Amino acid sequence: MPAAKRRKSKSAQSAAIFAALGDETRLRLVARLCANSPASITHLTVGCQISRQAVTKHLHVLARAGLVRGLRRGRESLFALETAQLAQARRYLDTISEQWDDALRRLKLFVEND
Amino acid sequence: MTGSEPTKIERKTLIRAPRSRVWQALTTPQEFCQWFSCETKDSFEVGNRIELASTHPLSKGKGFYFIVERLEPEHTFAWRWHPGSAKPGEDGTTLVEFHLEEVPEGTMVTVVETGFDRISLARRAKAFTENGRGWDLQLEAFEKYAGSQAA
Repeated sequence: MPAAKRRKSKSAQSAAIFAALGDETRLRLVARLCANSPASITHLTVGCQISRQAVTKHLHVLARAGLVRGLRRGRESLFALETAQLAQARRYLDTISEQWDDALRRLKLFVEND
Repeated sequence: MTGSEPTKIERKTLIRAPRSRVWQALTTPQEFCQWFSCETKDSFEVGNRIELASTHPLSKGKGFYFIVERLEPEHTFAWRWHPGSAKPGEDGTTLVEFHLEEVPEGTMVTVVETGFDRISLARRAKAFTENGRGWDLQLEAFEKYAGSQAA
């Protein structure tokens, strides 16, 4: 991926990340990859209530959001977690949380010192 | 999703004052502006678009707006916004809700912000951390550049 495109994904893809994670199955796939990455589609399908094809489709949604990346080992198709994207989104949310903590602190001071 | 739900922010604070007093500080523009560090000439009514200018040292002079969504006296004050968004309506919005609850020590205030899957999180996060229009211009220039490179 060219550098410019990679940078674009960093600034613009966080919305896609949350859309991708707003689904139980995909969230479970990410949780599994957190514990064990890379993992094969076969491994990721075990214990899921859905077909291998459906799991593959969900993995591609995650890949488009930059959360996972596909790779091959021999004839096997594997998926690995891309933690950088998730960490970046987490940092943005932390910043917003801190801003709210600040605002609530000011509200509390304002009302209590009235 | 529950617990560590990544698309929702929820913060709480206990204020040692009656609920009616907290409601007034939340929904009277003059009082709101004092603790939220901003200025406005608009009145808070459901459906109103409130134009504000930040007076916070980190983002002094920066303009933003929200649209009042709910005003349920002494219970819920909610608005939609996307501070930092370059053009109104270009991006989605997040929903901000203040909930007030009477507790023995005073009033529990909960603020919940949801909808991060519909907005540029980078823009939202940096809206109140950069001075003036600097960040907007930087981001616009960068997105133009990145867009032309990606095409």
